[in-house]
Amino acid sequence: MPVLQAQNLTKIYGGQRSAVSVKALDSFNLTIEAGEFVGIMGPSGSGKTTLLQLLGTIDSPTSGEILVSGQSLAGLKGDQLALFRRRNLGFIFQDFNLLDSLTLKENIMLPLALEGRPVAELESRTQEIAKQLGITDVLHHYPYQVSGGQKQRAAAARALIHQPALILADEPTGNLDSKSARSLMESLAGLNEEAKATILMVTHDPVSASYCKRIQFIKDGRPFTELRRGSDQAAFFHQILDVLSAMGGESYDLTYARR
Amino acid sequence: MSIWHIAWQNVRHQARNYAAFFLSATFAVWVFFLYSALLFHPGVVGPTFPEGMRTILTIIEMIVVLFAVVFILYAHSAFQKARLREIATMQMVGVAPGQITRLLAAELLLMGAGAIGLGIGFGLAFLQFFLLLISRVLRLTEPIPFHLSWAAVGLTAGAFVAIYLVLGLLSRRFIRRAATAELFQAASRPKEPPTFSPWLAGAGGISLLLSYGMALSVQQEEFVDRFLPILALLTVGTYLLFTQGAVAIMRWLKRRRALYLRRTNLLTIAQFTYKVKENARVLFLITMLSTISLTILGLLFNIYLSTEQEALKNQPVHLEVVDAPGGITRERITAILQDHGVDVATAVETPSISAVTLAFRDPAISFRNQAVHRILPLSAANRWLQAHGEDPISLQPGEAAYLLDREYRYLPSVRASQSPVADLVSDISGERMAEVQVRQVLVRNLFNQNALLVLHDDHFRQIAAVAATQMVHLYQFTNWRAAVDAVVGIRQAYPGTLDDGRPAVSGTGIFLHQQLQAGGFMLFLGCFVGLLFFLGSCNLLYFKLLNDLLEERPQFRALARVGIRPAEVRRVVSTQTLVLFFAPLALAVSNAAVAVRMFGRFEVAVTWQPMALVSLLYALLFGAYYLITRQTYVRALLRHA
Repeated sequence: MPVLQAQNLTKIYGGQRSAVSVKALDSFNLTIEAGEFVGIMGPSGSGKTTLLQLLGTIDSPTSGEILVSGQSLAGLKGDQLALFRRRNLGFIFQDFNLLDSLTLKENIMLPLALEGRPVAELESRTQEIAKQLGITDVLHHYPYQVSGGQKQRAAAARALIHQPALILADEPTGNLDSKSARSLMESLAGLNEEAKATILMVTHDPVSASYCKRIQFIKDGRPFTELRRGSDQAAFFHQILDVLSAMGGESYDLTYARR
Repeated sequence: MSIWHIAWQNVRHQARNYAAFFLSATFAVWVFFLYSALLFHPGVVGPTFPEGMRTILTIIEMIVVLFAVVFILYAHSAFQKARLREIATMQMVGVAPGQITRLLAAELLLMGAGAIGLGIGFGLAFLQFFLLLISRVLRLTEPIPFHLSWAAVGLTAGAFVAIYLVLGLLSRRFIRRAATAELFQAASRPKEPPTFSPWLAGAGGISLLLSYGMALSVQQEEFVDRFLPILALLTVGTYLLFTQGAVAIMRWLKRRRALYLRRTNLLTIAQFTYKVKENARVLFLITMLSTISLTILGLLFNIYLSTEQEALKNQPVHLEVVDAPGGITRERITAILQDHGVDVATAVETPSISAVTLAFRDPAISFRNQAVHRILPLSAANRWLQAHGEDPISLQPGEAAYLLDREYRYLPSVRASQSPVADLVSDISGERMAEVQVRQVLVRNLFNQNALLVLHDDHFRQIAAVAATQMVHLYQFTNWRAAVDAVVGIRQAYPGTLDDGRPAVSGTGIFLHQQLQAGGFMLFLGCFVGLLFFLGSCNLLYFKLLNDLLEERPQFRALARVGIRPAEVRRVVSTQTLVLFFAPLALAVSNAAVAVRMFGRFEVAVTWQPMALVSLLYALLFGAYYLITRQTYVRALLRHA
């Protein structure tokens, strides 16, 4: 069974009566199998962020259906939605979204602690995941005491600790320097390979995207094309650049910053 | 566009922030105005009003002013902190620091003007009702008539305008003249985890315990020397407990992993560590304000409740009439008592001699020359004693018995010096009237005066022949409560006073009436002050918490994305807010209980019920404010999450 099935997703902002209505997604289909590492790329305003928000249950589609591990998201509300999100999905954001008042370790533990899991399990899972992401040494630091790369690793660890069906990453390298970005992407690719984590990542950055196994390009709310990676990452990177320029070089913003 | 215009726009824009402050400021003006109206009321003089009423009112007015100054200063600096970013923006677009301070001062003045206007307005609307309430409290038969004194309006407006002007002008000194960049950073810089010094935390705990220990063991004569150290230790202890101790407690909780890592506890405790440190000063202020209110109210309530007990102790004779020559007669007294249908149990009528000093010859006790209020003949004293079921005294001519209402410290030395010889010296002429041998010192609380000398009838007559005498009528009724009106009637018929200024007619009922009047009045005024302090404390906390909201929103937004449930947000915020409201209250209750106990060691008969009731009422008020704050907070947090 696929981890994620999105069927005929349509999202229209500013309802029918509104003078300005924008169709951000137009009958979009996407299927992700377990263990995949999928990148979503497209120019500004192409619907990437909308797609991620719909998949992350932060927003709901105007029409269409989303199934996560075969379970439909339609009809989930309030508490159910929050519980679904924290049990089945893991989030990595561009701006980390770590809590300043918690140490990295506590930030990572938080989702499991909220579930009421025993302390021993919290400790062992945290140690395990921190080791995979190489942040064991800074676990007792507060977010303001560590680098951006370390913060994003902690955020990734938080997203992964409860072994979610799907990890949604929104421009995870957007706030990182190129070295930290590469290093983070290597870690994510490693988690995908070794821990069989299923990852969906939205990105602007062709370098980051080249770590994915498959890239779905999106334009004007519709699928544009799809690329699958062979064995050679460098070749894949060039293929990505080709598609990006084919999508319309001018409209594509080659800087990393989304905002 | 004048500075006033911008200030007005700002006040309107910040209305929600300023509302809590405005409420307290208006309430302070309101209370001040009502008390001033009473102070300047021409009808509030005369014997029907408690002694020292004006003094009490003046003191309370000063407390209100003091409170207003502290509150306004604190609120003003809190506003500035809350608006760092705005101030930084103004500096960036080129507004000079001087203009900014003027703007902030102008905002303060605008709000002050509003508070003064509204406070006096409400005061005028409420004045009639307030006077009626006061009349009820004072048990007046005729309510105090409505009278608007312009002096009261003038004093209130003048006092508060002066406060706002002075603080507005002074505020230039308080504003931080920081660089623009620094201000921006201060508004958004991630906060370092709060730290504490184990030494200071320990010192806080120790000073608090020390102050409690000193307060609970203080003796009457040490009280004056110990009062300030106790107060200082209590204040320092309370302050350190919030700035250091609270963080220490949070650290301790964090070390208990099973508790700390249990569901929302992680969030609650970690965030609370920051909150308690940031709000330490306001929590301290609330604790002290509440300690003061609870102590005052607890004491007044205790005094009020023990009035009857106090009356019976202080004035055990139901009716005592001391008759200067040409005054009231026994027939007249009996007639009035009969008119009121009062049942007399015992009546003693006797001549007496007053204004005498008992000068001991023994040098070991001669420094204790005793003022004697009244000399009674043995037969009359014995009749009174026997009527109360006491053994009669037996004396020979030349011997004396000394009667006191309670055990005094020097009495053992008098008793030890067996039957000391003393001279009776007239206070008026200074002449030596007689020599007596003090055979007995008795502690019997059966007379309205505390020092009586009893002489053998023959000896008494001998002295009375040359000294001035007064008739004393002592009455004991079967039901003194039913006789209060009769006693008041007798006093009205014979309003004279004695040489020492005491009224010639005294008695349990009259004393009780006066005490209830004064006690009720103080309690009533105390309630207003308590309410003012309560509103001040809670409004400060409300303001501070809503201000934190701005910082917390992004954090909770992040949590919402990770999948925190609204119920969990509510639980985290509720727990934190609950502790922020009730930790200061709990400490204040404990402080006040100790303080009331301390005063109870001497003058006031203290029981725990009044203190418990006052604390409960305060807790209910705090609870109501807590619910409002929590509701506003959670709603605002979830709406933007």
